[in-house]
Amino acid sequence: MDGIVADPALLLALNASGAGCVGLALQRVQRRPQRSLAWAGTLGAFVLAAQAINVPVGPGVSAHVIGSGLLTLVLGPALSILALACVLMIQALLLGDGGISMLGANVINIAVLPAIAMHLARRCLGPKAGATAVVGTVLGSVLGALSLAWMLAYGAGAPWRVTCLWLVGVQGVAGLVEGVLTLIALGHLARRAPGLLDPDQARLPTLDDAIEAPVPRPGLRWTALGLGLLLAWVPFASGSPDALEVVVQRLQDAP
Amino acid sequence: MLGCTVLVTGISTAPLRSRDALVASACATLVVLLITRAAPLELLKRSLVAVPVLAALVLPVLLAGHARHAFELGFRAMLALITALSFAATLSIIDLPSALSSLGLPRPLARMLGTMLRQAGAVQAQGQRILLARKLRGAKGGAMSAEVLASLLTSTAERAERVELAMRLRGADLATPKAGQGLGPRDLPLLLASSCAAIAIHIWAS
Repeated sequence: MDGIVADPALLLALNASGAGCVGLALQRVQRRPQRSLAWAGTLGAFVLAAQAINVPVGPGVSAHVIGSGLLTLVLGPALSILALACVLMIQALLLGDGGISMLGANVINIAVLPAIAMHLARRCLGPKAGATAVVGTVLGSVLGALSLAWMLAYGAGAPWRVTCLWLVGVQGVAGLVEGVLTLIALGHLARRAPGLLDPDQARLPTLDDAIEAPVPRPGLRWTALGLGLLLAWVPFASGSPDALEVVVQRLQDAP
Repeated sequence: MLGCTVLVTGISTAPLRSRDALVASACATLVVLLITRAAPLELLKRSLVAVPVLAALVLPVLLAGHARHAFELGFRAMLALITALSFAATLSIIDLPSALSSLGLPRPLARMLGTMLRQAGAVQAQGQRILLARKLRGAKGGAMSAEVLASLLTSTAERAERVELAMRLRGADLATPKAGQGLGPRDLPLLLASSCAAIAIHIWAS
């Protein structure tokens, strides 16, 4: 959020770190292309919508779904970081969410740390363990909250203890809810298209495949179905899908 | 976009201890509002969406008993937010990927961003079609039912494939900046004005 963290040196360092992480992810994706960028963009569009859904975590308190856990498990950490960075750019530049000067910090807290946490959980617990989704998502949320708390304490003069307890508490509960939702979605994916859960081995159809051999691809449909069920399990659709609505409205208004 | 980034960063880093800096920031925001002529209702709606997030970030400071500091933080954040939203109202979504690409964003990222923006529209349009079809068939269940969302995502993914393939076959490359795009002499006045305003806020503070 612009104007909260104001230390210019910290902002510079955070933005440079965020850009560096995106650069590394980009290098990894270019070196070893695993997924079509178009497919990642499509998943990112749903994350853009999902981030407008607020999860109530206490009286008068809510946190939004991050979506990086599911993206990391389906796309792999590098492409997941890129997709989330794009989501954050759209939110900052078009919707005023997250903040322009804090873009690098948001990339670290929302894209990089949760993706690393999910990747580690996946490595430690195995790609098919049910606990992977929950542990990875909760760990990612808590790491992001800790990082944000540190930024607020260092860059905004907020008291460390209160800030840390507050943010970790809120994001921890939100991460738990999101982890369970991710687990449900993964359950559907595992039944319908198990190959999609192994980013190193599985290979989603790319545009090049489509040009060369336009054959039906059920895996894509089942992935979409799994995501649909994930969103359908959220019984508290917030009154703020206007992030998406604003984009759509402006797309329609554009000449 | 670059001007927006410069000015918003200038406001965001304005020293809180200086009341003059906050006044200067407020003046800059007012000028941006007047120049961009953003729709006030839309601006208010978008600002209100951000208030809970802002409150969640300022609350720890408030809980620690630093009410004045919390108020100043919130005020500066609101100024930065209104400035960013005013500039955002002037941005064309269609041109955003190529504009970012011409500012140095790597092409794969620009392409992914363009896909996201196009799919956001597709999600809305496809959702409306599915809801209308269900209504005409007399189906029960709300707009957020599992069936609707599953159908929506399935059909959107299929449509995404078709659209991308069609565009690719026609030789479209949305990530490549169009001729004449990029920073040019016409952009300099706004960029200079934004930079001067950002510098002025900090000079005023000192």
